[in-house]
Amino acid sequence: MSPRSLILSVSLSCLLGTATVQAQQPAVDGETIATPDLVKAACDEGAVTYYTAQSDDDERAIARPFQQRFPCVSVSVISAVTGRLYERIETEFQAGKVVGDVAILTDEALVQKLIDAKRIRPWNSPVAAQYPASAKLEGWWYAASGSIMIPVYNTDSVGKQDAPKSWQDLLDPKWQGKLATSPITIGGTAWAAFDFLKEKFGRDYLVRFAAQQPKLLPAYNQVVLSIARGEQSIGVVSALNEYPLRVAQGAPIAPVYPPEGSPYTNYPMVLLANSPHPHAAELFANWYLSKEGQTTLVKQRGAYSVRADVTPAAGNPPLAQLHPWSPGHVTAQAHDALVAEVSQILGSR
Amino acid sequence: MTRGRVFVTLLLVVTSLLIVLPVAVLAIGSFLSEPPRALHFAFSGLTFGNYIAVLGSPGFWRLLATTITLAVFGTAGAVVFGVVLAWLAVRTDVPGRRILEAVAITPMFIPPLVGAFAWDILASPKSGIINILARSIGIPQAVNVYSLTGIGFVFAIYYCPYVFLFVAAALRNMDAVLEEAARMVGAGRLRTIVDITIPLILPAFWSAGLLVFVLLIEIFAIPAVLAEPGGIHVLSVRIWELVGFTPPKVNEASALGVLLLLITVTLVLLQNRVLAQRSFITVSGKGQRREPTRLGAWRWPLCALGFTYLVIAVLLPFLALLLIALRRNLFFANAKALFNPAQFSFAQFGVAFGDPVVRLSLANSLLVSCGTIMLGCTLYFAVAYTVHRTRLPGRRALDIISIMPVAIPGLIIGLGYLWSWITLPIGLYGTVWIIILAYISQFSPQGVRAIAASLVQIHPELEECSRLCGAGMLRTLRHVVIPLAWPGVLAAMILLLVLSFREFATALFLYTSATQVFSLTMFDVWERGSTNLVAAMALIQAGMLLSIVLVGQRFSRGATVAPGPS
Repeated sequence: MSPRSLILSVSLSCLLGTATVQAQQPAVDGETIATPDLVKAACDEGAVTYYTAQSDDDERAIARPFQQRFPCVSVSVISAVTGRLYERIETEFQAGKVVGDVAILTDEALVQKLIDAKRIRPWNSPVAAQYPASAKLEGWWYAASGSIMIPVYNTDSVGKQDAPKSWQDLLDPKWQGKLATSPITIGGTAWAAFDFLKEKFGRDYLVRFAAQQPKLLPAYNQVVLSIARGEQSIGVVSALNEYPLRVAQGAPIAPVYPPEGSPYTNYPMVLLANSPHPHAAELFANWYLSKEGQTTLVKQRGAYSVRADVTPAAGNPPLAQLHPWSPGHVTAQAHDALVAEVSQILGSR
Repeated sequence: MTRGRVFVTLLLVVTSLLIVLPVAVLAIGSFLSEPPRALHFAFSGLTFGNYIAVLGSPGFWRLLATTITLAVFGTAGAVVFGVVLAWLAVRTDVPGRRILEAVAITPMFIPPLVGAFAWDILASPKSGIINILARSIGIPQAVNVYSLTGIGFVFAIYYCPYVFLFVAAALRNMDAVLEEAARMVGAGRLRTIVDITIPLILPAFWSAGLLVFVLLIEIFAIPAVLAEPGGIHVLSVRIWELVGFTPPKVNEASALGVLLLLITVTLVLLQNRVLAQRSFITVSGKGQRREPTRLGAWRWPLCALGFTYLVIAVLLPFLALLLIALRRNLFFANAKALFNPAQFSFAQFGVAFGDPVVRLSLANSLLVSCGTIMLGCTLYFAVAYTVHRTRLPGRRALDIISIMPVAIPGLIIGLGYLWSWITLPIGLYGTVWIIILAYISQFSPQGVRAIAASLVQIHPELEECSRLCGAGMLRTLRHVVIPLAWPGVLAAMILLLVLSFREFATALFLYTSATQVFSLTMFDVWERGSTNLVAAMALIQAGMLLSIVLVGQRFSRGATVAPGPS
């Protein structure tokens, strides 16, 4: 190596070294997310594998500020629906070959099952106080994301005056054959939606909803697409699917925020037991719950954060205005009973 | 033990690990109440409950009837289109036959999810482009793809290339002397086709027809996009639902997989019985001349027919995808909004090429496809050769093993791999190899059958002759059998390239961020609702696969002594 290139490389590494030390502080915008020891241990591990039920691409974008702050930890994202993640987590644990370090799942009942089976390890996040009691199981999980279910209509085929204003309006005979949603069987979000409708308006609502002959499509993105294209007029969907089409693609759809409230599903974040990078997992998860992490999530996905200090995404009203409703703790029996009942009423296989 | 027996034993061990192990784990799991994850079998929970739940669920028999009806529609269509196209392209003097040959298989290059989506955009009842244009000239609704006929049609054009590949390979390998002999003894054109040509391509015909039928029972993406909006429910979507359940009802899904497996194996055994009674040898030691069938006055009408098919089945969906890829969004209520120039841009192609994840997954897919083709074709050839050209004990078992995965949806095969291979001490879980192996096992029915269809046409006298002249087994294979079976091997390679490139369900339980494949990236983009990016990615994929296939075909023409014009 020539003296010149030696000087260059030494000064470069000095510069980089300074940058790394500055970036890897355990506080993010004044919010402490880790101890210096945790940061050091995480950097020594150098990697974290993140299992998520949210979109792959969104999650990589959300993790970017984390990567800038902690370049010593590289984040690998693996995305799948909750059921498939559950199958992977269980199989990896039973084979003694755990790959995932941290996970976001969309179903509280399933997370409880994993806690009972000791697939999840205890976790006390330093930012736990920012999360309301309904959005965490202190010491185990915190709602790092979530979804609200709302009606959506096509603005080309439905005038603003005609558009439904409430959940009750969906039962108007004029919408018969023009509704679409997904069956209760597709996951926690759909389950919460039907639970809400039954708890709030009684079984009779479901029977009358079924009489409207709604189309039941296998995924919410298909429902939103069919509303946006004008194939159906009104849909009941997750706001996470409605937002990108409405805001980023300018689809002719409008959300309805019913005065009776809307079902909100927590997406718990958990640390997986026996994982290969436990410290990096904890650092990443703490960061995800921080104001910076949540602000990035909200901007990227149009999701809501339960943190009071995180403003909603452009084009979304504050969460409190939507009167979010949560089913609370659900037993497996109650879960299965509702699936059976709704499937029978709606005739979904 | 002779060398032949050692060889068969080795093949049985390899296919057992690749295919029987994951399928057996699924089968055992279908009788348990807890899934056999990591090969932990809880036999205390032995039960018929999964079968009772599946068979007793309301609407199951209707579901089965709809699934079979759609598959029959689709298969019939695919067989008719495929055979006619293959015959026109390979055995006649129809104008433009080279174009027909090159373009006929392109619908395969689009993943079924995107292909179905293209037809959704074209022919959905209200917002489909065809219906929007029809409305602008006063016709309220011209087509409806959300119907049994609509889905059957999409099935048919989507699976016609399978039949085309198999039948075209058989036709290329066929000894034209037989047709000429028929003509010389006074048979007319039609009579020659009915009495000589059709009977001789029967193995390819049956193989392709059966494969298409079973694959249509298994396919998820097309019914998920087109059937559910029309209130039409099929088994494959039901299986996805069971696995997507929280917690997933994987044991019930396995039970459905086992039922599909039983149906398929029965059909295959029946087929073998039918075909076993006859001989299909058409490649013999005598020299052959290949005069195309002269169509006379029928040349131009048949040319028009072939190209009409290409326009409807190939050009229209590709144009729809191009439109979606170029438009900023796909929301248009009338013909004017549809062609609004302000909406068009090339931005999506830039996004697709610029994204590092798209590039990484493209490289991964090429790697996976390469591995699947190299290892897969070697294995499939060995199996097909043993089954059809030897009398070694164990060959029937190999035949059955190789067909097993056909009826089991990729998602479930992937699950079987996750449950079983994670425990094998060779550490493949999380690497690209486990995806390659799962693909090889998933596509073995298609691969083995494509090669076998060619092998059964070759007269054993050619091999015997080579052996008599002193050539060993390997030399005979290399210089006689492989060159003669080359159209089938090439068909198998093309098939594997396409199938492995577009498959994603099998990889869902097996991939990591480092081994993500292109089709999975596309699926993620689709789920996020970025449909124009999906369309751009699908077009890039189709363009790439088409180039590889064309270059491969050209290369193989120069490099081998394959009989005939192929």
